[in-house]
Amino acid sequence: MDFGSMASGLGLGEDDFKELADLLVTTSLSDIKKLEKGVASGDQNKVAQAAHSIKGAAGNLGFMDISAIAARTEAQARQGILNEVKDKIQIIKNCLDDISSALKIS
Amino acid sequence: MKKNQPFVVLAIDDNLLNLQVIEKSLTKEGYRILTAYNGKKGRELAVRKQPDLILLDIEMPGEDGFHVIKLLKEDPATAAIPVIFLTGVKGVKSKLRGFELGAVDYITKPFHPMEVLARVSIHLKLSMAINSMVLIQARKLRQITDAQISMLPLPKDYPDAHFGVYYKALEEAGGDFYDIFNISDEIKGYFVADFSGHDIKTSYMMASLKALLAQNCTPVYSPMESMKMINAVLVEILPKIKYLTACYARLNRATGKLTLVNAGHPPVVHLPLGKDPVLLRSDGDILGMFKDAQFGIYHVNVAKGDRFFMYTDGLVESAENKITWSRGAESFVPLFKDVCSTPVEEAPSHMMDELLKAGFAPEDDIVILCVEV
Repeated sequence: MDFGSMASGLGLGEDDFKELADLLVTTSLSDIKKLEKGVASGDQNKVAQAAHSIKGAAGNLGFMDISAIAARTEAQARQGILNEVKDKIQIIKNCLDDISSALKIS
Repeated sequence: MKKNQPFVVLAIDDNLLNLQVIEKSLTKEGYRILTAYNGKKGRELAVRKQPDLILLDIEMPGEDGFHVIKLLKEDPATAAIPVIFLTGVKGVKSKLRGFELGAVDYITKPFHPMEVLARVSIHLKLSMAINSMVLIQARKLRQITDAQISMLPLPKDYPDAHFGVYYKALEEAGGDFYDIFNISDEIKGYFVADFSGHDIKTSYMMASLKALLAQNCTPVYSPMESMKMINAVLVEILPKIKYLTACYARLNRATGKLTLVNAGHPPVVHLPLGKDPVLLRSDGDILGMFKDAQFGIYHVNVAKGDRFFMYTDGLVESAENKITWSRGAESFVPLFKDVCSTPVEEAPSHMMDELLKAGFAPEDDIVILCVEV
């Protein structure tokens, strides 16, 4: 994960970018808890809102893989489709773990 | 000297990361950022702090962006503040609704920080143009008065600008000019100019130039835009035979970027810390003569401890020896390295002392401005 290039592409310094990436992991994990609660209670709006939040935040920092999965989750939730959310949550969690690991190394 | 106030942008978004991205990217370009994580708090801040522009998320729990902008536009205290929507919703209907409610622009998420910066800049410029005709006139008059009181700033007036200066007019009514100004906490402007001719009118024109710098060298305008606007006014107000050469340096200590705009002026000397000095050449038309003047621009990355020197042609030209600045500047370059260990406030004077000891005989006004990053 080349934080330097990602930072430079956004016009930010690398230290600022890493700080934001760390914050992304924190806020996204919090949004994931909301996703899980939404799935458990069958609340598609709650799921859609949480996915929307992850989509925007990840996309703003250039983590387009996470953003794309969250976008798909949001779209399905808005149609009432919640049975695939658990799998998507796990993929997002894996991506966040990768970011955390990369931050620790850098 | 009154410090320029930075533009204030209020960002309202329920996502903390989005607020942080906006804050980091705009703060380093000279803006002051206020943040609110919901609509109610955002409205309260807008009334209390009167920001210059609002960035507003649409999809928020509780009061959504449409509700917030409706209330902002109904309140006389906040009605005139331009609002830009930030939204992940792409439909045309949503955008039209936003415009009908009074938004001036949309930025779709995920947003690129540099796009946010560009749109904030554009809309602040428009806002100033629409709302501040009277304000600008009043400011002009106040600043011309201020300028006449103290024309040429000294290092003690701007301790954060880290500079030293040598100024000497050959005759009573000098034609050389320099100015230092705060564009924001981390961004400083340095300007050196040389008016053609030495007469009483020159001092009045210098006061006007000082006021123009204060009005046009702000975070929303790029250095080139500032120079072009200043040129446009000078073309209107200067007598036909009058012109000036000038160099405008904008230094952003937060990003380490130095931008130079050159209007027919001798090149800036960059002295990177521990390295040899380099002439930064960029040719440009003179200021105040041509409406469609083209100016030279130079971008350079600088680091803490680097220095750069701006000066007028009196230092490097000699009519007696038939040396113009384009050739003379090259021969003076090593001299700038000789003062690399001298404290920045004393470096220009020290340089002149050495030159005078070596038999240098000034034939014109001289300004030497040394800035340390």
